[in-house]
Amino acid sequence: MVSFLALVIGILFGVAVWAIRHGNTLRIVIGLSILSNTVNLMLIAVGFKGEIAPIIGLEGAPADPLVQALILTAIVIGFGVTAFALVLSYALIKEEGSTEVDAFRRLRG
Amino acid sequence: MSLLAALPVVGSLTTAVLLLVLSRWPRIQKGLALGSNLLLFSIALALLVEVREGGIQVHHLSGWPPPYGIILVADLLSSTLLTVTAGVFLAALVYSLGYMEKESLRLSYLPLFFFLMTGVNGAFLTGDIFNLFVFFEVMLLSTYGLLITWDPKGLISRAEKLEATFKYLILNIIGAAVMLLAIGTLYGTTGTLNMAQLSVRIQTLRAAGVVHIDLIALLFVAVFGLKAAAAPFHFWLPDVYTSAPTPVSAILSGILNKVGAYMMIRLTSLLFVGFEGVSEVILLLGLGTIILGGVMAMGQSDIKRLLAYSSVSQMGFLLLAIGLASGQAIAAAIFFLVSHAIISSMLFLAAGGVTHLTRERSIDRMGGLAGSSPFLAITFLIGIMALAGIPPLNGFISKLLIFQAIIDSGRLLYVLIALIGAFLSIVYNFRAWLDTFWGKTRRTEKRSLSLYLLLPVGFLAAISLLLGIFPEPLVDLVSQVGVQATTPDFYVEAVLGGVT
Repeated sequence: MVSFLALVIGILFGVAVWAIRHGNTLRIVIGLSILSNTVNLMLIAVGFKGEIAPIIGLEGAPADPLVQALILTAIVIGFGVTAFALVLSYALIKEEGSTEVDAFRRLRG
Repeated sequence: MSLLAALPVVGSLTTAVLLLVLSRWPRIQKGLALGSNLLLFSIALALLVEVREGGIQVHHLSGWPPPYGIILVADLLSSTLLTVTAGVFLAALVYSLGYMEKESLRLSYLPLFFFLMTGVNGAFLTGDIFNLFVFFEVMLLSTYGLLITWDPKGLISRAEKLEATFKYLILNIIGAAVMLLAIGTLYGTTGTLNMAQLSVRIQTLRAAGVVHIDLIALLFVAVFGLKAAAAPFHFWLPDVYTSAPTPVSAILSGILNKVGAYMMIRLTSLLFVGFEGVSEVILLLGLGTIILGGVMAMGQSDIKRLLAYSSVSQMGFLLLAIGLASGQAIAAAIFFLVSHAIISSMLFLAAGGVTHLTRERSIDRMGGLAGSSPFLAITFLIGIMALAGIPPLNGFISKLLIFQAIIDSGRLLYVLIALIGAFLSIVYNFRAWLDTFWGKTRRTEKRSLSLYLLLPVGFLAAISLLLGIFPEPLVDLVSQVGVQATTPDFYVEAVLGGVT
């Protein structure tokens, strides 16, 4: 199970990097959203010590509940930031008349 | 248990929410903002006095004891920085009241201003590394909002603002992902998120020969380096500082990049104590930052961009002191941090005054302002003399302490590079002043600055001068901070009290 998670994390990370490297504003935002979810998956893998739900008194090793609380927080934050990023990129595209980041060159260094 | 340690966070959060509710009554809203910022300043001072006399204050949120509950820890380092934060925010707030447009001030600016303060105060106080991530995000989200607030003077175009904010946003989303990755790996390795417990367990694990802790430390250095704008991660800073509204640039350079530096101090002196490799990386980042910021600042003609690069270069000195990680060096770093927070925010506010008067951003097209606005000329001169490290100003003492710390550590090549950086800072700072205030008068428009714009600049300049002439109280304080911050046992003892 953990090796399967590792494979998924690897693929998603690759997709995220590919999307961010592409010069399209919206694709960058989508890539960043995938990236933050990849990290969330990684956190799940950290807490994945057993397949039993985390309630005290069960037999065997339960999954770590703390990590799941962390992920919930991270998902909420990621959602907020992505929403803001979408609005910002919409405004930027409308202002510049282009979706390609290479066209935004008012500021350099 | 101490309630006082929770007040800076709770107070600013409550204020932010109240300000949102009160947005229909702008006068009450302004009064509340000013009043509660003054209150937060006095709370921070009270906390500093309390910590100095009664030792490290710990607050258990909702009464859950560590290591399970989330805690807020106020030691000397945090409470010193809280005081500086409240002071700089106060100056920026007064300035904003006179500078920002009424509508945006009422609807979004003031609430976001206090949400930003919540994030900063929380980041300084938290004793839990995941909570630090949350406070960072609170801080960043409010910064995005403040950055795109419309600048009333129309000097900065909308497209420029959006572009800079987009850059900043993308970098910080990646930064957040890396930070979460580092936190996750650290938790997977040590099984705790409490910073005191982490400090203990990392030492044990390292002694047992776990190698990848060094890599986690480097991930953290990258994240905080991005926040502090260290050399390879500095490129967002000039764009963002230049396109932000003036009081926001003052806060960004005065406080926000100090949050990154603060976490670097925690890294080298609490979490990853005795990791020579990590300290060496921070030192090299510092050297690179000094030179790169200095050289880039030489070639700028936009006044805010010049100050932004000078701020990059000065952060290099700070990182240099942090990388040395001895008690003396940390004390020097904190003196530098406090004085640079005051000077750089003052300079940005003064530069905002200059652009307000001249309707011009390029120093090549300015000149002779000393005659028409002597107040700005004098305060700006105090600021650049302090940045360049000329006695009798606080900047001189802070540079002196840092050079002493480097010489004592025996790295003479680093002293040489830092000296070149200091020399560069004299050149570009004075070029900015001479081009702006001296020479032929270019513009003769009769404008005047309101008291809202002058008062904060004068306040910060006066503090800078006072700290330069009477540095002893601050030197005493920072040497205590240095000792306390570099002895993790104090922190661990206060938080865990024997439990490990």
